[in-house]
Amino acid sequence: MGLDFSVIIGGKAGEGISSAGLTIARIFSRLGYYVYMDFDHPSLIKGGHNFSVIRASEEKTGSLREGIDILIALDKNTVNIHKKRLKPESTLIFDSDSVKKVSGTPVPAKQIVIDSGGIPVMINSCLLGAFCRTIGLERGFTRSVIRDEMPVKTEKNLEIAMKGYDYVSELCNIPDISEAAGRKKILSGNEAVALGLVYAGLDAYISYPMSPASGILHFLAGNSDSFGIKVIHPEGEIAAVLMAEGFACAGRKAATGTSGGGFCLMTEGLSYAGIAEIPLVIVLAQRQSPGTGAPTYNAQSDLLFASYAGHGEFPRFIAAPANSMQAFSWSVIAMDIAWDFQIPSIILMDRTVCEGIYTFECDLSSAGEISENRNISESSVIHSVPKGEKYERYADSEDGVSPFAPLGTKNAVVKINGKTHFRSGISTGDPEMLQWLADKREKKENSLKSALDKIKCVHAGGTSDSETALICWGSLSMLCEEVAEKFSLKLIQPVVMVPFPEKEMKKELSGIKRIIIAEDNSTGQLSLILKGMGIHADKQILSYKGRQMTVEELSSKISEVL
Amino acid sequence: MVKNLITSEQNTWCMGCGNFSVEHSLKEVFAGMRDDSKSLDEVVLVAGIGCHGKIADYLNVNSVYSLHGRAIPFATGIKLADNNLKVICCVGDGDAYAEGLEHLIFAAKRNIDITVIVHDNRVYGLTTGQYTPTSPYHFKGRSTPGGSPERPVNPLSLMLVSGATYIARSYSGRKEHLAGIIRAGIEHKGFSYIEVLQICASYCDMTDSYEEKTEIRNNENLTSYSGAEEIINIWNYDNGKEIPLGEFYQVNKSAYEDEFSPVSDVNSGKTSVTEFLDGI
Repeated sequence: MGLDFSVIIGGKAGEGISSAGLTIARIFSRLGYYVYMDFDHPSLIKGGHNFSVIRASEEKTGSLREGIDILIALDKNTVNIHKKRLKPESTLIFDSDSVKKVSGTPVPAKQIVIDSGGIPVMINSCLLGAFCRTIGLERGFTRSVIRDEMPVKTEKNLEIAMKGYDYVSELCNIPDISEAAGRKKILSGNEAVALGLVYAGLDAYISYPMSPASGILHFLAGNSDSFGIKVIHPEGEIAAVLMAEGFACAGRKAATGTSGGGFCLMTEGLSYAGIAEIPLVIVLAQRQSPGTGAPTYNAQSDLLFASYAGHGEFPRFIAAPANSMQAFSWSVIAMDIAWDFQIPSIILMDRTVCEGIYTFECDLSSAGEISENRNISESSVIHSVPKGEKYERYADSEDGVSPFAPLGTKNAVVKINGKTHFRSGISTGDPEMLQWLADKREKKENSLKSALDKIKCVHAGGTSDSETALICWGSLSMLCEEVAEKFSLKLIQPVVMVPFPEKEMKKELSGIKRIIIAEDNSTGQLSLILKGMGIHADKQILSYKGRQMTVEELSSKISEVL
Repeated sequence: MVKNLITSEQNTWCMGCGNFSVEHSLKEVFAGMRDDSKSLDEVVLVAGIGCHGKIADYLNVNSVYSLHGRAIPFATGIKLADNNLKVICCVGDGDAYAEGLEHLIFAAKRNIDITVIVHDNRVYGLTTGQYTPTSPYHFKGRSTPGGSPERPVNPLSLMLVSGATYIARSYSGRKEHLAGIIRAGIEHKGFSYIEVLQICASYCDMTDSYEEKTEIRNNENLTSYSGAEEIINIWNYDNGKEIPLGEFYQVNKSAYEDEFSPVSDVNSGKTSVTEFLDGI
């Protein structure tokens, strides 16, 4: 077994804990390790307790361990909260100007910053420098990482970091395996969703800020010029979803993103997209709720809401990715499906996968292959109508998908309608048409189902011939896969949630005698969906503290139920 | 190609409804655009929900029959997606001044180049007669049989402070004037707000009052904010001897859609993502 190393850096909000954590994640990535990072922060701007946990491993990882190898403390609180996670051989690096009466590796970081004429936030650079020396990194490597990752006031930051570096001595030696393993890239789930949407041809992202989806808005706004897209922050979620639909009516690909509360407001627009057959992508980033809940903490409690949200009956597509790689690929697919079938697509994230930093090893061409597999459906957008020919927005077709001419198409009168309508798009209450329209929507749902039969909608891992399956969804997948391997269980993660890949799921379950279902909610929402298909959980593991379980926590829960 | 501007859909508005006047004014404006060799392919009518919304079914142009109060965000998305489109919103007073108020204010604030025509009959018609934000004080409707306890809002005043760059009022009883105002509103580059006092033949027939009190009184210096304020304040939607109609305000300001670079026309998404990932 190769290296498996965990680091926590903690301090108050406003002390740069997130960027320091990212720098540590980047250091391990550059050295060739797989990395996973979680940034834990309460809903406040200054003060409180923030910490980043970084796990680096030679094996793929997307989960955290209980024990910590190095704890970097900017304040006493960090020591008090996390010291129980230290092992006898662990190291505590701390700012000795803020933390007194503890043993470990003291660094007078505050004084170093003052002496160098730096600003208070540079205390984290000083401790990062000390960290780099502690794990045996070379001076040149340390300088180049700090230079790249802490670009504000680079020279001053470098000076302070290197003073921290020189203050301590080497305690271990993390080998550079990048030559054999390759330098890795890291991306948050939010960044990966954003990149996936752009890859799929996004023209506009319209979103009202709401944790934990705001990261997508910020990332796309910061890169809108290089991506050639429009990024808009409108007056609210209702406006966001309807503006996105306006873009679609004019033939431009748009998406919006929000969390549960904002999604509540969007459901009116969601139903509109259902009847008016408008392609729409919504990123629904789950957090602790109901109500305002715990805005910066995790939950997987909107699965049933997303599945049934809106009034009336209409087809939709929902995928729940587990990490940045799945987030990228399934965002591409979600956009393609929205346009191919003219339906709303929901990318159901959770806080852990949104803000978690994962090693990103995606073969872009293969992500493209799935999406360009026009077996899913022929793209149904048309850009010209022959003169004299009558265009009908809701014309009949075999698969229920009508030819879609964007507003402004030459020779076409495009009538988009949220009321029940004739094929022309003009309103009607005619009983035959009401039924015909509902049947048309069902026909689309059936063609979507057969299209999905052609792609892999369920991820399986662990021990494939085990008689016990551990089923989970979303961000729990990588944690469950690691634990499943440990206990020789089979891991099954349905990625597509609606329409549920029942056949594929049952295929994965053949030979399984015992089912454990793990979810980050208190009612077992996936279990309920599976129950409807005759798939019953023998045991449920439900966690709803807003924090993801560690490997040890889940392992002990599994031992209890096995 | 000669296109019939009215669809064959059977009209279900009440006899004498003010909506006919707006519909035919728009038809005239569209016919005029066609005579000027402007393509009606580029016209998009976005309607809200209420009696007025049926105009989407009756006019034979591109349309989005949207949601109650939500025509404006649809219209905003459409305009941002394709700047060549002429986007006209027909909305109702309940629709735009009650449920859709935030969108109306933000559209004015942004100065997006769309034209909003408010069919203000000062009553909820299709839901059979309840008070709206512009119903007179103590208006007796089905939800307020003892008289509405709320005073009316002056929407023009609200639009002026919100940043609308074209503000005008007309009356469904003066079709020629109305058509002229609509034409001017569409030609104005920026957010055009047109308030149409429209009678509701069934629940709020103000014909006598409007015939007696409406006067055309344009703001002589259209760019004068205080001049606009003065005319707008002559009538507070409740009492008053005179109801001014005309063009009250028009200024030039940069339009919202011009703040954004055009979206890439080629499918550059794949390239830009690959470049981004190479750089990290």
